Amino acid sequence: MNNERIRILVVDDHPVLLSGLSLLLNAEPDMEVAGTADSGPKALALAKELQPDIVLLDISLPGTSGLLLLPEILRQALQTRVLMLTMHEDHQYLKEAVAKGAKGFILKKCLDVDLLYAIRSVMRGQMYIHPAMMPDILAEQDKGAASPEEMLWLSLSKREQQVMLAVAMGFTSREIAEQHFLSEKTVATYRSRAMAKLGLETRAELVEFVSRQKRSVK
Amino acid sequence: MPVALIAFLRQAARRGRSVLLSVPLKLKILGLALALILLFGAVIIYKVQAALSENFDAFLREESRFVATELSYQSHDYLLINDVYGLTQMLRNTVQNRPDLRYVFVRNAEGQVVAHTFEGGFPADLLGRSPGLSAPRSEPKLLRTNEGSIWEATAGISNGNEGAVVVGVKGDSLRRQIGVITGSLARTTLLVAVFGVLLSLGLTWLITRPVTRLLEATRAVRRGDYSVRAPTESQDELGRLMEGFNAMVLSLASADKARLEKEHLQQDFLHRVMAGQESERKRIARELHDQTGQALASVMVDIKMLENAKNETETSQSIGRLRKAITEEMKAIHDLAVALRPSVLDDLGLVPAVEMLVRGFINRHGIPVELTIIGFTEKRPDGCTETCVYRIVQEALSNVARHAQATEVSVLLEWRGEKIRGVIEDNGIGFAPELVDSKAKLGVLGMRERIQLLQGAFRIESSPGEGAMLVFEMPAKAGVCHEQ
Repeated sequence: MNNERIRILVVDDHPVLLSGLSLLLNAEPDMEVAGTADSGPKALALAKELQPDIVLLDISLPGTSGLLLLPEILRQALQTRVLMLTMHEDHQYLKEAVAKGAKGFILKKCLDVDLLYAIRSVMRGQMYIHPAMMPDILAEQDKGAASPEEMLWLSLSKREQQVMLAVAMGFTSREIAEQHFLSEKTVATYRSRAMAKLGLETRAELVEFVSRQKRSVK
Repeated sequence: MPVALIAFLRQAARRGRSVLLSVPLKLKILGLALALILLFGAVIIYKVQAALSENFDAFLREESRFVATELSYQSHDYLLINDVYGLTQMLRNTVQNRPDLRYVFVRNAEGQVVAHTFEGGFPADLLGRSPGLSAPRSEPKLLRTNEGSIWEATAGISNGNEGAVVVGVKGDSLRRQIGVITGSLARTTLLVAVFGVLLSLGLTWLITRPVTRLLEATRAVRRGDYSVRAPTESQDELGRLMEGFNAMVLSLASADKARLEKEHLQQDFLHRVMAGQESERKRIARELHDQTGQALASVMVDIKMLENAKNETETSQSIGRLRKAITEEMKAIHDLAVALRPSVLDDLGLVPAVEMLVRGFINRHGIPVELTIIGFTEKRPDGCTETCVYRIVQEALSNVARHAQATEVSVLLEWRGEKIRGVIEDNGIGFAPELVDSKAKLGVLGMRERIQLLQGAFRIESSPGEGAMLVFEMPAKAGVCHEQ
C-alpha cells in the first residue's frame, strides 16, 4: 500500500480551492492529485483517461451540476469512487448523490477536518457522510407509500374528513352543523376548504371520491 | 370591336360608380330629386306639345274649310248686287273677329280678285299663283310663306259659277295658346324642382345631420373622449345605428377604464417591484460589506497573529479563531445565497426545495407544517412553473408568519394530469380580504401576476377568525418560459 498512492481527480471551478486542495492532498504521503478539472466535459475526459481511485466532485459547476455529472463519471471510470464536495447542507442533495452512486458527501465548511479522513474511509470500502446529516436521512425513512387519493384524504383534518363524509352522505350544511355543534358558517368554511384541498368542485365528484376511499380502506 | 365596346362600357360604369361614391350624400339625394323632377317635367311638356300639335293642324284645316264655305254663302248676295264695298267690309269684319284668319279674298267668275282683306294691296305673288278658277271645292293646302305655314282653303260661290272665296288660316293665336301652356308647364316644373330641391335638402339634412354628429362622436371617441353620445331621436335604421354606437362607446369606455386601472395597478406593481429589487440589492450590498468584509478583515488579523505567534498555544488559538470565523462566514454567505435563490430548486427540483422551505419555516417559527406532496415522483415541471410554485409557497408561508398568528399550517401540492394545484392553509386569525394593507397586497399582487403569467388561477379565502386558505392551479408545463 505504501508505494501505491491514492490517485485523485479534483473537479471544482474555483482555481483557489483547486490549488489549495492540490497542495493539501499532495502533502499527504499516501495521496496524489492525478488531475484537476474546472468543467464538466474536462472532468469526464480526465476521468476516462486517468481512471482515478477517487474523484472529488463539486456539485455547483458552471453550466451543469455535479449530480448530473456523477453517473457519467461512474460510467467512464468503473473503479472510481466519487466523493461529493459541496456547500449544500440540505439532505436532499445527500439523498440524490447517494442514490446516484456517490460514496461520500463532504461539506465544504468541514473540508479541513473531514476530507482526508473521508478519502481514506472510502478507500477502505466504507461510505462517508457527515454525522450532522444523519438525523435528516433517518427522518426520511418513515414515509409510507400511500396512493395519491389516500394522501389527499389524509391531508384533511379530522373535522374536515367528518364534514366531507357527511356532505357525501347528503346532509346539508345546517344538519352537519347541528350534528357537530358547529356554526353553519364554520361548516361551510370546512366544506369549501376541504373541497379545495381535494381538488373537487361538485358534490357528485365528492361522493365518487369518498366511495373510492371506502373501497380502498376495505 | 364588341369586346372593346364592352370594356369601354365597363370602365365607364366603374368610373361612374367611383364618382357616385365620392360625391357627398347631400349631393346624391339632391341630384336624384332634381333629375327626377326635371326629367318628369320635360317628358310631360314634350308629350303635351306633341298631342297639341297633332290636333292643331287638323283643326286649322277644318277651320279654313269651314270659314271658306261659310263666307262663300255670304259673298253670294254681295256679288249679285255687285256691292264690292259691302263685301270687303264683311270680309274685314270676319278677319277681325277670327284672329286665326290671315286673309280672305274673293274672285269673280272671271278669276279677278274683287275683294280682299290685305292692307296695302293684294300681294302680287299670290295673284300669280292663283290661275283662274279651280274646282268649286278643293281640299285645303298648306302654303309655306315668309310669314309661316298657312292653310289655304277655297270654296266656290254658287258651286263655283260666280267665283270663289279663298281663306288663309295661320293659327297664330292657337300657337300662342300652346306656347302659354308649355310655358306654364315649364314654370310648374321649375317650381316643383325648387320645391323638390328644398325638400331633398331637408331630407338630407335629416339624414346627414345625425351622420355628421356620429362622425364627430367617432372622432371624439378616437381622441379618447368617451362622454360623447350619438343622437338617438330617430327610430329608423340610423337611430338603431346610433344606439349601437352608444352601446359600443359605453362598453369601450368600461373596457378602457378597466384597462387603465389594470395598467395603473401594474405600473404600481412594477414600481414596487423595482423598489423592492433596489432595497434587496441594498440589503445584499450591506450584508456583503458589513458581514463578509468584516469577517475577512478579522481573518487578516488572525493570519497576522499566526505569523507573529511565539508558541504552539498562540498558533493553535489563532487557527481555531480562523476556522470559526471562516465557518461562520461560509454559513452566512450560503444563507444569503439560498435566500436569494435556493440552488436546491435548480439542482433537485421543486419538491426538495419546498421541503427545505417548510423545514426552514418550522425551524424559524416553531409552527408545525403539514406538507403533503402528491404526484411529483420521478418527474419535474419546467423551470418557470417550479419557480412560480416555490415563490408562491414562500410568499404564502411568510405571510402566515408575519400576520396569521397560526398554530397549524398545511401545505398541499398535487400534480394531477396536466395541472399542478396547491393549497396553503392556516388556522390563524384570518382577515377580511378587502382590508389587506398595501404591503401585503403587493405580495398578493405579485403572486397573482406570477400565476397569471403562467395561465394559472389563484384565490384567497379568508374571513376574520377563520384562518386563511390560498388555492392556486396552473398548467404543469408553461407555454412560454425564459428561465434557464
